[in-house]
Amino acid sequence: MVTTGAAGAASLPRMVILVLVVITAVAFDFTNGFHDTANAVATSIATGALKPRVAVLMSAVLNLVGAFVSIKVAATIAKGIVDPKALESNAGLSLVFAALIGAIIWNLITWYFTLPSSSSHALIGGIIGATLVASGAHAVMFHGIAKSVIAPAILSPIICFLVAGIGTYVVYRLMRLITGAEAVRGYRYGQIGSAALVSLAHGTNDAQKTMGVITLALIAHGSISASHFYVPLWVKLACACAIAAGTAIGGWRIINTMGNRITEVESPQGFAAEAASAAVILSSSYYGYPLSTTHVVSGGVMGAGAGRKLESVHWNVAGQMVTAWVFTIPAAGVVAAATWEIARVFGANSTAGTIVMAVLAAAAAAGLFTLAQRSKVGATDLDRTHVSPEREAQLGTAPAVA
Amino acid sequence: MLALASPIVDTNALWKIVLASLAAGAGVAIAFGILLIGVSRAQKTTNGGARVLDYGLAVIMGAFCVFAVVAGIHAMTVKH
Repeated sequence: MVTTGAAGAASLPRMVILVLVVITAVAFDFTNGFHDTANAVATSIATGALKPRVAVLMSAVLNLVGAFVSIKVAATIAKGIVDPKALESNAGLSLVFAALIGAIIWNLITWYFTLPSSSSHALIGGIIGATLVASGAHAVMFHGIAKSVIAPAILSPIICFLVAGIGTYVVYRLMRLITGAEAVRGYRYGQIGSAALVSLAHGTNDAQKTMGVITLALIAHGSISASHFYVPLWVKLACACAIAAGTAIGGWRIINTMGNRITEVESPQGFAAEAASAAVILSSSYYGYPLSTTHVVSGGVMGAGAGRKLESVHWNVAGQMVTAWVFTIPAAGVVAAATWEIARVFGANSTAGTIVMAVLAAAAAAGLFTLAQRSKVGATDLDRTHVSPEREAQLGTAPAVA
Repeated sequence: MLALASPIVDTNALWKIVLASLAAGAGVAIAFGILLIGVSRAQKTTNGGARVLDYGLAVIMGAFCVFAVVAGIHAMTVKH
């Protein structure tokens, strides 16, 4: 659309903000990709079922495919969490921008501390925090948050823990009927399939959340009518590529925590954890319960550990993770609220404020990345494909990378 | 107030999720284990009848696993 004169001059700052929101949303999707790679492939890498780079590439392709499977998640982002009017108003663009900054910063902080936490909850926390300061508490739907976010966040890892625990317990009794090497070899093949299914499920959920955010921004800008919701093709492509690229670079730090530090995973446990995770994620979304794949998979890995031997679970690591989960929504919300308030110093919904906050967020991200290089974990540190099934059956798993 | 009156947890849906997760999650892990046992025993036995039974068991368990995967992909496309 070409605008001229005063109207064109007035719409230019809003267009700049829209472009910044889209770039920030794609950046969030990228962090979502490498933060959540672990959910699908950590146990397959830990047991040597797949080479680390092969695992993340497979996951990236399936995330890309999954992003195109359905747009129902995209259509429901923020539904029941905040008043839609807060997002559609003139301040909607700045609000979405602040929410994304909150989510990105929290994702990077938890990545730095090698903690698997929910990117979806970070985004929700960002939206809540920005809405609280932008529109007030009346615009936040606390009952909806309790129902759609808090209850599934508490229940889903517990369900997955129990399902994976029961599965693992029975599988280890069955495995007495064959040799350990046969079991390890068979379950390593099985893990390739289960990791693929979790990757696909992740793509259908998480890439679409960012599609929903960008579409909300387009509605706030006036590029799309709220009464005719649809996700433009370029938005689908951008989000699918961003999450796939993020997944492909591999979030090795979190993969190490998920695959090695919660418990020492053997192939049957890895399969049981992934199968339980896929079952909980897909059955919950089928019955309309949105949930965090990170919470579910973490619960599954703990359950698989407990199902073999209760004391094999490193409960201190599990405790650190749960602490991060508890703080995710408030922390992302605080960062988003601060982003909103600092940007307002330059004028309400101003282009200058948005640019300044984008630059500050990029600097913070670069700082965290530089700090993380001091304790770098790479693909080669995690590769266990050289351990033969016979050796794994004899010795169990290798110790975690420090 | 109406919103507050609605329950935070839909126990009916919760039970369905628990049962579906147990059947598909724990069920697939166990079925895959029985599949491996069937294949292992079929490869070791010298009895033709037992071999057919063991392979038959493995095929049934494999079919259950494939059905679970197909059901999962179907669930992805028909989200509520």
